[in-house]
Amino acid sequence: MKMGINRLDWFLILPLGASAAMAAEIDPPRETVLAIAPWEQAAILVPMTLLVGVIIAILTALDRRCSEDYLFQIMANAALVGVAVSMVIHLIWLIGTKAYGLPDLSAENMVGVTTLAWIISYYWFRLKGIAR
Amino acid sequence: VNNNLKVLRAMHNWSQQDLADRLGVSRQSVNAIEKGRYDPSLPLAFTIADVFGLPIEDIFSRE
Repeated sequence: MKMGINRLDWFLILPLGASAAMAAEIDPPRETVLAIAPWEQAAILVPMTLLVGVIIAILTALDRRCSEDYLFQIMANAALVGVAVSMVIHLIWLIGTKAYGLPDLSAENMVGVTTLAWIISYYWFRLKGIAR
Repeated sequence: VNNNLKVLRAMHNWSQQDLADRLGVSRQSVNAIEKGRYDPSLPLAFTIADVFGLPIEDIFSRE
């Protein structure tokens, strides 16, 4: 199904609420079933990141061919904002953790923050434009 | 980048949707270009020039 920009404007309202809920979610501490060493974690995460990165890069190239340029540029710009916002929020929260004893952010919280920032900036660029 | 897309469209008596259909993009794309909220990619700019039968520099200019 080809996602037109008009349809996407309405469609993104759904994950907007879901990502806000994910960002706010506080899970009780879970019991760790499997203890792994840092090098084991790196051995899992690094190749997985490389593999998923390559797959997403290929799919993005496909998406670029299928979607119109205006839509793709808005989504790409919004994705950059989403990543930057996630990094800054994470840093601010980390300082808050050290200084004020805030609870650690979970991966779900960060996914929520990233998605929320991406969707908000999508609507921002739709409203304000992306011309230099 | 400035453009005179709106003037050219009016000269041909085309709506934004008419032009969008000729370009194979959405009406929102045409609207964003006309309002200066989006600079089209080079392939799209060439397609616009082809649709109007004009050189690209007659449609787009630097600010």
